[in-house]
Amino acid sequence: MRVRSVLAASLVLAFVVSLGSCAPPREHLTFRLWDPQVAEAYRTSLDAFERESGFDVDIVVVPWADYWTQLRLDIASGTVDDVFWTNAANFQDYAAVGAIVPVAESQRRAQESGWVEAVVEQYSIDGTLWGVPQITDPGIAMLYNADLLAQAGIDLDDLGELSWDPYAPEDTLRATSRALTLDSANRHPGEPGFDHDRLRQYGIGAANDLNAVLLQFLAGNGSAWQEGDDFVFADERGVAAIEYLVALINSDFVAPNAADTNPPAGGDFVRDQFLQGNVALFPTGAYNLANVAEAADFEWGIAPFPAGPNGRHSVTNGIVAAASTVSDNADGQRALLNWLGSSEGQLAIGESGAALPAVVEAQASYRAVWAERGVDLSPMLDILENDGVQAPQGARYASAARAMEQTLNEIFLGRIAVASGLRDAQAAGNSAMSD
Amino acid sequence: MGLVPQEHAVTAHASRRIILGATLALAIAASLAPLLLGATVALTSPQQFARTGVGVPAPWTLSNFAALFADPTTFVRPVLVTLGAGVIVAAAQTTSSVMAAYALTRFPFAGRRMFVVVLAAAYAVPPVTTVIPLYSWFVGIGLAGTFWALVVPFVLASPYAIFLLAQWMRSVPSEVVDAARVDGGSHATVLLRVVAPMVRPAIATVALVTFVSTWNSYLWPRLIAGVKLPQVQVAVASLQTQFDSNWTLVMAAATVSVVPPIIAALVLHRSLSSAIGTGVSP
Amino acid sequence: MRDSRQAAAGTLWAAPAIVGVALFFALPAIAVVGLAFTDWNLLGTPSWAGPRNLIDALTSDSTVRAICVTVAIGAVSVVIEISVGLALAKTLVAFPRAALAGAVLLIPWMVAPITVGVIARWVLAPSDGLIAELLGHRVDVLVDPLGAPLAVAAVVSWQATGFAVLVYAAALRTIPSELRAAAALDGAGAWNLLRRLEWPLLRPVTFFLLVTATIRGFALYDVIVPLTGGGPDGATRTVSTLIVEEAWESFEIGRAAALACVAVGVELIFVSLQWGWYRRSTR
Repeated sequence: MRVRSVLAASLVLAFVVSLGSCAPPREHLTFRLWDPQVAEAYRTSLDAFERESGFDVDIVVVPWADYWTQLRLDIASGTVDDVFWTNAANFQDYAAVGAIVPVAESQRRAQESGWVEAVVEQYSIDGTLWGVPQITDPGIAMLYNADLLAQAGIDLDDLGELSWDPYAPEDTLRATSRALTLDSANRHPGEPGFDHDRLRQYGIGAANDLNAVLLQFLAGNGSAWQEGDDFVFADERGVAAIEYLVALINSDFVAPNAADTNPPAGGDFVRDQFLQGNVALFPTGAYNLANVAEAADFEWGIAPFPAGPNGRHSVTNGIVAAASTVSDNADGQRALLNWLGSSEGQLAIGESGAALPAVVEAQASYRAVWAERGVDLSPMLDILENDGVQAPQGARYASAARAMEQTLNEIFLGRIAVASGLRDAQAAGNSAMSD
Repeated sequence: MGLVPQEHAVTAHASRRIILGATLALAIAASLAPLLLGATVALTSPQQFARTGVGVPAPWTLSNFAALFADPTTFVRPVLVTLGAGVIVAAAQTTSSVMAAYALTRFPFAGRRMFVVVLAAAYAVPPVTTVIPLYSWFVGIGLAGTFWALVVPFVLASPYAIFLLAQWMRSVPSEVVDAARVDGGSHATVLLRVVAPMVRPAIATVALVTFVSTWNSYLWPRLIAGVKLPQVQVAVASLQTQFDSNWTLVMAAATVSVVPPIIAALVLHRSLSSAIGTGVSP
Repeated sequence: MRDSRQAAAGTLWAAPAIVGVALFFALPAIAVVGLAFTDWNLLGTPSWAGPRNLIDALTSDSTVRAICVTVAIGAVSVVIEISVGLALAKTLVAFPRAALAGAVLLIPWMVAPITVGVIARWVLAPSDGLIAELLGHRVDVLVDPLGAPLAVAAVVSWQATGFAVLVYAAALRTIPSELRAAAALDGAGAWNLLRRLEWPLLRPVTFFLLVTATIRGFALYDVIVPLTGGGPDGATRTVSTLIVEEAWESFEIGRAAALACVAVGVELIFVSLQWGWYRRSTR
């Protein structure tokens, strides 16, 4: 009977498919990260590792938006990968619950001198290092769309001098952004008939983006996001800085509405709009350079982050490869980590230009690649000469961030007052930190 | 009196039918519009979409689907895994539901009432609740991230299927069953040779509905197999968060995802209608 | 004698289903009640917490808000589902050759809620969504505290109405034509026909739809994830969404289990209210 044979065939198919997902053999390792471009570079690097060591490595890319929830889930279920990327905001949590193994002494003795010191410090608690340094981000800068600037008649040299001041009625950042913002009838903000609900080109990608925007604006006005584990952004200067940002969005209308950019859904909105040629100034870090180089079909460049009353300061983030405690292939794990911390392992990363390696010897190739492409990285590197901004940290940072997220979103939507909203958020964050 | 009221009646009737017809057409359009528009976007090139938004794709392109299937782990694998899981769950669940429905309607077994009550509770309680301990048990056994974890919780019972099949089996006259038994048939023979063929539409309905339900599931696959072995809906959701403004790609995934349910709806409409009709007639 | 053999055979036949329901529903359900009295973060072992989580779940603002959101969305969508569903069912019955129309109306009901949520997100996206594009300006529905739950209710109705049409149409067709003819002779117009004849006869269907809508409302989670993620500041955080967040984002299993118990309790109350209405109205 036809039905019977169809049924039989599909059962066989199902069985075969299920076989394909059986447990892999012992020499198999998995490595998890969130950046697809860097993953491609790792593939090149790990192909060499596979040849030399005899271990097979599968690279698993989990999108940034899902990365941390998925990681926590998989740690809890014991199915997490042998080695995985983690950032500073999250590693303390994993260390505290015993989910990751510190870097072996033998590896530290052999390789630590070749690692970027700042990253080693960022991931050390009481002398124990919790991950093998992989990436060190240069500072945050502003990518610009040269075509849009030319259309607005803005001189590229002036970009280097942009400044902002929350206490002044006007500043060059606002004026320039206004000149770069257009609604669907090609009017600028402030012109009669300008309709802020019909924006088609945004002057600047200001948003509730901690890493690219908030940290730098807070520091630029002399405030800070955190001091140690404590949240301190609700002081008078912090309030002024955030009010400035909110005004850019909701009074000057030079940035996309927070409905589009608020996390978690809107995290990539500004980047995607920039790639489509709709954003003139895009505050971001080196983690988007590869994206932009690949996908932008317009002339673009890098300009320094605008200077606030307190100057220009940027956060730098390091990323490490952490070792899972529940790996069932200790030998392979050790071999993989040694490879990842070595300059030969990191060479492919540098050469791809996808990220700046945290192994110093491999960094030259990164700079060379971008120099070859005609992109001047100095705005991202020069800003690091000023005092740095502390990156988010703390064992309970993830739950503190969750506690504050909705309030911050409402602030950027313009629905609650900045001063009281920041005070509430700060209190919620600090209480979650100390739970 | 004469002709005039008749004429009124005829034209009133005609215009009423036009209104009713228009209402129906509107409802059909509303049902299909989001899906059709989504499919249109899926067939538009990203460059054209970025420039002009939704519109007639000029030219039509399959590039979004190509991009979707380029790396098999992004979408092809989830589709295959879900197909496999769906077939296995449909086959197993239908079998055990048919057996249970037969037992409910033909045997006075002890605890029958209790069984029905528990089945009703299983239907009513939100899945998010029972998923919590189930998750930790599967993790404890070490089945997290495996294909069997996707399938095992569903192969044995479905309250909905059992109730539907029991409904239909009740309408099989007991004389027919008794005659078959008297002829020396065991219960298995009676079920296979006599009852099942008479309720074939209900069985087919249940099998297809179970398949679609597995195809559509999200929470359990996300929790127990998330990244290691994603199912199709998990893949769709993940693509949407990863490529938020890249609507052409996201709609390509959504379009592929709605194909089995659409086929099921068109195939099942008749049998669902009569299957449910027998249950809720006044 | 024969009876007990029959009974044994029956249990045997129902065994797979019994085992399935016991193992994958009854046992977990009991475990959830137990977990409600513990504190647990999935790593390590649960620790006893007494009734604290249950009391928190019963009294906390977020629970009350989640229940209100769930009930509000459910109420709006069920009203749309029943009224539009019945109207369309009557329309469908008037065109016997339009059976395919019924099938097309059923398509939204078959599609996965997650995919529906993704498509709805595209339709309602603030700046680059379908509606924003058609109107030419930004659409704030998804970040509006009132608009977001209404949007969710609209999406839920879009999915659910096709099923209501199916069952109402099937039931309408079983009303004997003599009853209709008698009512027509008595001079009943279309509206009175509906009120006096059809609506009372359709009460079982309406009751069935109410209960189904309640069950669906309390389980509402998939659609919400891609569409609003819980809403602007919790405006679309249904009970199930809250439970999932507590369990798998905050990793507070005890609190999640307590919430689940409260949710099921409230759901039972609603179902019994509907059952009471049904019993009273059919007396």
